[in-house]
Amino acid sequence: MNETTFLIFSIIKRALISGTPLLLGTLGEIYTERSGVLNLGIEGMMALGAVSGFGITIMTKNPWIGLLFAIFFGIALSLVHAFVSITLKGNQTISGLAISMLGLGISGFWGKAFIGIPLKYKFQDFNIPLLNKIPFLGDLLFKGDPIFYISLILTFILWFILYKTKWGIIIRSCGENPLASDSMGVNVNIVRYICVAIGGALAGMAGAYLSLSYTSSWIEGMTGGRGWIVVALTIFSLWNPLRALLGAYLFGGIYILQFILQQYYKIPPNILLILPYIATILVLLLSANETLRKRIGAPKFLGEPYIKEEK
Amino acid sequence: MIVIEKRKKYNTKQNLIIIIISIFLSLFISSLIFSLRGINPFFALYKIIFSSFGSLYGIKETITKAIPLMLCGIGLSIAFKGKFWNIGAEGQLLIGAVLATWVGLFIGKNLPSIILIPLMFLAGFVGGGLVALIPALLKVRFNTNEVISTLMLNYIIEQYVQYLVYGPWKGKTQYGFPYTDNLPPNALLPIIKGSRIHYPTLIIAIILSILIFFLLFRTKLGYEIRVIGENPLSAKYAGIDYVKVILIMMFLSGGIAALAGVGEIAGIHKHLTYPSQISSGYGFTAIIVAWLAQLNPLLVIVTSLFFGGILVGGDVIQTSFGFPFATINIFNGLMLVFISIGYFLIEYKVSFKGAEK
Amino acid sequence: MVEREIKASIQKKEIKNGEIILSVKDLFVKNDKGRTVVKGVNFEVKEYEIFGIAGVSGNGQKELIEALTGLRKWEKGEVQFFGKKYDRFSSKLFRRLNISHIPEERTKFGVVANLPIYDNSVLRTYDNCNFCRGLILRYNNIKDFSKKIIKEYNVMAPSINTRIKFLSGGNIQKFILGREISTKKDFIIAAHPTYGLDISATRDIRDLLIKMRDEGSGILLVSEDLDEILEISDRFAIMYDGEFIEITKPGELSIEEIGLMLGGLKSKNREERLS
Repeated sequence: MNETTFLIFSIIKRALISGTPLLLGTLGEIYTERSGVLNLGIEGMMALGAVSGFGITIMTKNPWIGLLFAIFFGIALSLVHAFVSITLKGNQTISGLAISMLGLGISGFWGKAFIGIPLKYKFQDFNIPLLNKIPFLGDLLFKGDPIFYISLILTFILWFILYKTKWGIIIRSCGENPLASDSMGVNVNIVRYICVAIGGALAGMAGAYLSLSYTSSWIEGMTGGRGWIVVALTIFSLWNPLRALLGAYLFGGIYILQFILQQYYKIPPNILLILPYIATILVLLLSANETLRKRIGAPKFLGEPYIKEEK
Repeated sequence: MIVIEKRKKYNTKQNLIIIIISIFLSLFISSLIFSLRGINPFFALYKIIFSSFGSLYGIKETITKAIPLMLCGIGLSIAFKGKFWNIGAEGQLLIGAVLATWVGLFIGKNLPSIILIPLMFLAGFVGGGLVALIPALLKVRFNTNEVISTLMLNYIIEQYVQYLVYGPWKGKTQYGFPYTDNLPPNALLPIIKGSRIHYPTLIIAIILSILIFFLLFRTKLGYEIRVIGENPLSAKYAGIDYVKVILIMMFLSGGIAALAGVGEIAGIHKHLTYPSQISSGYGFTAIIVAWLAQLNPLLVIVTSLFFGGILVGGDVIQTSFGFPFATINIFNGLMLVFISIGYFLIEYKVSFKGAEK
Repeated sequence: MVEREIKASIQKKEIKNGEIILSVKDLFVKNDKGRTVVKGVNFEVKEYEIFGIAGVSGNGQKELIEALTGLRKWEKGEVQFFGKKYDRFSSKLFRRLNISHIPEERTKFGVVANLPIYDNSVLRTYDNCNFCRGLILRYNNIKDFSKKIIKEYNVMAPSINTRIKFLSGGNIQKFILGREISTKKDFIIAAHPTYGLDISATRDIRDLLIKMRDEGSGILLVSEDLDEILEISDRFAIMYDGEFIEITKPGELSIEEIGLMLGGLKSKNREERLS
């Protein structure tokens, strides 16, 4: 294989890696929104995951424990949103913003101690036996960060659950027709709590990935708006985990594009930095077009608290 | 057993008490954070409150910080009343700052103050309004989520300002710092002696709060905004022109927020600089200023003073205790959560009944 | 318990012949999913007349009313109000016409739940010269108007400052009716106006419609309640699957025939129907 091909493949791999936190976040928000809850707090949950993952890893010298705690903190923060949105039937936009602020604030507060500290305890590269012996492709696709593989596996598992199992139907019906679900004996609010928690767990994981793998450090603002991008990607994926793969990796490509354009074409950094944000707006426009064409829309009762009417 | 029932009527006194308790709870719980670093929460609270309201200097600083909060808060209350979640006040403020610099430093530097300053405010208003039209158009035409589109614009505008101050607008007299040259004296706002209060902006803010209150509650446009915000289906039934109202509403919202940016440049910084220095999170804090004021522009004056005090306190905890400024976000987030709880208690009555025999 | 006397039957005045107010020819309307649910409907409604549309919900009535009130575009057909032909209209245009719309979903969009009564009283009339001057609303007039409605139409409410969500369904409906009829008398479109209401409120509303009819209004009434249609309409259509199976007068057909047609029987032959 010549050098150019190698370059192309490693660019692809880096795009996949950049897309991983987006993928994780999107998978989580898909579940949350499918059940009928809009959670705009992903940025905060990710930030909290990043700082807690980093901090606990340094304390325990083990990134896996750090990851676990990141998931735990992500769930904890998401439950605040669940409480306000579901039990208190509060405004979901405001509640999501509150969570984002809380997460970013706690992250900034806690993380100050970690600025400039390099991470010594990283994830060991995961090698898929046999397959990784394939010349050069093996290195590329079958050896790498374990979280990358976990995210892929999760994509398929979550897709399967959502579309092929009873639980998936229950989740989707809570978003499409909570009244009918309730009359069938489903506790809509509990389902929604669980889905919000799933969203929190995955967002926390995404954040931990950023600090433990992607940059192996912690700096303030490291989530860089990814939480908001995830909200756009959730729409783009038409609430389907498999399509989330497409969206996340394509978007990951944008981060790599930044890198390439800067190295090889000397485009001023400001323009490169706004690429992801412009891309997000484009994603929103594209999605609007698609949902119109395919007549697939958001879950019908997305964002509306379920209120049991007393007749 | 906890029983939750919808209330049959409102009790204004009760509602006020609920709001006040929400504020105290969030202050209290945020201050518990300090104990994590070994600092007595009550001492921290005392220091914050005293520094903001307990001394003349503190009060002056509080008012100074309240000015941009007031303007952004008023702008946001218009949009939020129509349930259009304008999270882009940071960006709109920056655009105001950019236009103030453009007019004050480049275009109009030879104009007399009496013309130049109103021109700067006007330019800022128009610029902020136009920028705010972008997410508004996206929403009415493509139904795009306005939270995301306004947020993305924040990031984009921030980069634009960075580009300006490091690039074409970099000042020749600033020793290599990323500032523009200083604005000429005829472009600067007069200040109350012994403070940093640029009072013309303050006056504009107070006048606007009255005007916008009048707009929202006494005019046809305000009525249409409120109906759209409360129930878009009713708005359709009523024959309200959704597109026209949303566009006007957002133009006003962004324009007023941008005025804050003009004030910050012409009154405080006197040149364009790092975007984060100028906007300082005002656009985000204004969300809570507006929400706590229950979207009433008159009450925004009160809540912006309160939050001005909190921001001054934020500076204090940075210098005294070494906490990062981001800590303010913890308080802001908690505030929103507790206000939401408060609003819930206003709508629903929670009682504890014994188990049925 | 019911305090008011329930009148046994309504004495209807002789039907006066008036001008045609609404004329609908060959109207086709699609629903949200793209299916045609109103298939070539033809009818007219005159002054001094109540025209009912009987039918089980889901046969196109909702979309028909939405088309006639500016809430939905129609695919084909001609609609004339007061002799003027319209190719389409927006709800904004519709608001300018002297037509009341009492919607099917009263709390969902007939009123704004969180706003006080006086704000709700001008929902469809806020740009009347009476209620506004230029850009500014004249709240004095608006509040007087609301007080008048509450009194005249027997709406039980603590004050005009109460938010409308605190009123009962029946009172909200009476309020909507009062608000609409007070200012737009010429033609009234009422969709399921007594749905879910108690006997007293139902009686009030039916009486009101008859009174308006006697004073010259044309009324288009959609109802699932066959008794209601038979009781107060002068003429009515039986709607099934987007079509008017038959247009007739109360008393001309037997209940069995009507029932069969509501269920889809389309034959026009009387003997065939009864066999």
